[in-house]
Amino acid sequence: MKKVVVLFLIASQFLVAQTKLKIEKYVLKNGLQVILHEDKSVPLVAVNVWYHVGSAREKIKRTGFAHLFEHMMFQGSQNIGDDKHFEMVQDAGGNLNGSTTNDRTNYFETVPSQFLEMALWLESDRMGFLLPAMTQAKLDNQRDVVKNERRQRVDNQPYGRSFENIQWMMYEKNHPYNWPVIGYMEDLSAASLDDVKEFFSFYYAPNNASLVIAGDFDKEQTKIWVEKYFGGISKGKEVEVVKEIQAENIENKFSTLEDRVQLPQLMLSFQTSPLKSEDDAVVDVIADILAGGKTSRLYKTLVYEKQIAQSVSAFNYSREISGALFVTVMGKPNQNLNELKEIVLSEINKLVADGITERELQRAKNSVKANNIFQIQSISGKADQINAYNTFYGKPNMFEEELNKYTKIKINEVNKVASKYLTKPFVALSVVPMGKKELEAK
Amino acid sequence: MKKVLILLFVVFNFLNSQVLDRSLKPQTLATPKLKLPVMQKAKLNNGLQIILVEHHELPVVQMQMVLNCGLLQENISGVANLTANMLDEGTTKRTALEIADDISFLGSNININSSNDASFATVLTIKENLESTFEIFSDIILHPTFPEKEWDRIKKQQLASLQQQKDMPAFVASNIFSKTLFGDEHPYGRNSSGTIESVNKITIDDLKNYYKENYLPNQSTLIIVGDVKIEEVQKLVNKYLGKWENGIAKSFTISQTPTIESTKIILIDKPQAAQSEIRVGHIGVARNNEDFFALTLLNTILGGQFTSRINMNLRESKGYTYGARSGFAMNKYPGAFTISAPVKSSVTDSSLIEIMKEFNLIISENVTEKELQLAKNSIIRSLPQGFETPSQIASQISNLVVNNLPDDYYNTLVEKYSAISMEEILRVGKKYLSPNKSAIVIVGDLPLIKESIAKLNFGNIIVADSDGNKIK
Repeated sequence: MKKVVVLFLIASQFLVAQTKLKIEKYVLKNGLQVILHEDKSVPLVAVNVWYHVGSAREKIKRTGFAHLFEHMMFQGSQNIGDDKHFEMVQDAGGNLNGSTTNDRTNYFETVPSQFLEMALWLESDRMGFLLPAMTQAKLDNQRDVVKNERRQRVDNQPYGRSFENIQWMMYEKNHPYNWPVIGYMEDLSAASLDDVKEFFSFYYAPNNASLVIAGDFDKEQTKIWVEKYFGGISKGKEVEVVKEIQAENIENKFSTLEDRVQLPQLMLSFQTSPLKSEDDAVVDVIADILAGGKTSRLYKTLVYEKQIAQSVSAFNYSREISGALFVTVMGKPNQNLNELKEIVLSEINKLVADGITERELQRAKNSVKANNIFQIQSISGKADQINAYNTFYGKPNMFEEELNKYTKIKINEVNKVASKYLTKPFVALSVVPMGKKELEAK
Repeated sequence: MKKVLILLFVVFNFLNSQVLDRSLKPQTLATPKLKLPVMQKAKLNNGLQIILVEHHELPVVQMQMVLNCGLLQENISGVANLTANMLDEGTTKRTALEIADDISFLGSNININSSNDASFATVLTIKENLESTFEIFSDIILHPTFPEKEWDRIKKQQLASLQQQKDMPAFVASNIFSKTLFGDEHPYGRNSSGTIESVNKITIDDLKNYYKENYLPNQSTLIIVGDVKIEEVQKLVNKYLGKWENGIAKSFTISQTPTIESTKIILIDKPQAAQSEIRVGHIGVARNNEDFFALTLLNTILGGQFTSRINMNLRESKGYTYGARSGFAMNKYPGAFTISAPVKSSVTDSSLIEIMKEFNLIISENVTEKELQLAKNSIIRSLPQGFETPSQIASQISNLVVNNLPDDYYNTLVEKYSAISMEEILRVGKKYLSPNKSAIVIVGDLPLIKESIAKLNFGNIIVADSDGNKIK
């Protein structure tokens, strides 16, 4: 046993050394943050832009707008024709996409190195000159596409509506996390061209964005290009800083959804703390000990031993404004969800009362360490992570610091943090097959 | 002083915006050379092939064991994947929980699954834990015990997940589409998870037999990519896989595939579905087809990427869908050619019209020079993206192993794709695609869509249940 421990100590020192990336950050006159990371192993370069705006900044009655706007960013700008953005990146053999969360919107492409200047040209044109190319016809088309995205991902998906349902239970109507990122159909129908223009002028300015370039490029040449294409874009209005509003559950809440599904599903959610809280890493470890892999506590009890659940997962959803831990259990056919709920709660109580073992903690730490390395294998993975650290913490090169948050966790901290959040009121959403309301948790 | 500075900045910005003509697309620099990975090969006495690519960028090792067995070798539908599932449920040395605990303690990942033609065991570990991970991996592959108690649990889990699959319209559509093309007997027509009926029939001995007959070193290749040298690899494979006993692979037969004489439509009801899941197509070609490159280009233009005809039409022009595509499943034997799209229920018929229009057009007129160039560029220039991470490199090599391709395959691609002409695309389209001999499968809200589809007169309509059985 001792030998194993020694081995891991060496391993951990080694890992820390490996996650030190060489990163350079500077800021243009218009406020655009630029972050460069060279990695010449393959002739590719990743261009990754984050705008610090997500669905949390939307107005009520205009839900889904941040994401609909993301779609509009691919529809051409003043100097890039309709759908030419896709065409040019695919012609370069690159890949591209964008995504929207509650807190931010990102746009990214990985292209062969010789196309870096083109990628910067494309990104800068839509950052600075989107509106002249905007038309009602394009908006109507993408509105239909997004409504189809909602149908595909939410309405036509078994259990697809459970996440928006549980968010209604967790957050008051005016809390920015009350509504889903994809938005509601009627709000998507109501979005106007003026909304597009207003959103762009509020949030899509260089001073609310950060540009990461990672991969095989010439640093000096790249800096000249960045200035050439982004330097001339005018600075926008100051964007309001996001305020943390940690939601709380006053009492246990239960709700049930009857759906066209075969198996009943239970979702439990506990309020925790925002992303930047010092407890965040510990909550990650708790999620791993509860449901990460076959030997985790809930999997072992519910799926392996009692065999009353088909699967179980736990997820620390720590977002910028408010955090929560979700536990999702898929019951076996006709399984009573209240019984599942009782077992989950008793496992949590056990964890709070008796703490965890050294091996459980070490296992969780080892997997975080390994994943920390696995995620930086690709330049696109690195670029996105650099932008996440920069956008939320203002520190692009936080890889080592992030890893240390986990390595320094002490065994008695885990049940302390668990008792702080997981013994408080929770919300529980049951999704049951049509006509099987008797299976619900209460 | 300050004032001067500010002025200068204004001038600079002014100049900048004057000089820069944003309408000009930047020039592209010369294409840098991509160095393809060097494969080092070895063979153990028991016949196991080893392919190593040294990749020292990060302290990571990726391994992929390619086993020459898949759904093709099954006697009962579901056996291949259930065998793979059972390997880490107990060995002569470890219980199911001990295996899981040992792997997760190392922070390593091990996954095993089966496809039509082959099975894959993939391993990802940090270099420091390579030997410990390798030992567990070899234990799973060489010494599984298939405990009855664990089988009982896995079987119930599989049955419940098969029940769950019926909730997913996309899954039901694909499943019934394959079944319609290949019939019940052909392995390519099967659900890789089996059916409720077949899984109920499977016994632990079926799995043990499948394992014994197919998990053979002389039928397998171990691909290793990462921060490791050939000497270390030799030591590891000899120590942990050297005693793996070889055997003779059993032969198998492929049943005849039914042909579709004229287009038929299979409708499956999904009450109140928000979308209709559409699948259109027929049996296509095998991977070793001589027209592979022309067909790949054809598909890239028709529905293989975002800017393809089908997606641009159904999504960007009409707004019927979030995404539509087409693809060839090219396996050892001919697999399916499929056009697929989830569309808004009320435009199911209009979507089908557009799909058939594109399907017919690609075999009746030349594609444009511009389309062909875009397809060639996107394939040729994306080559480096396949060789960035150890896992990508391992997949590329795995492609060579599974499909018996030569070592220099990736070096020949540029030349092969470049040589294809517009006329070639039309020729292979006419040769291999037949829109009027297709199966059309739609899972959706039938009371809403059935009548309008019947009016199209595209073919005979059959209404089936979610298992694909005809409803009278």
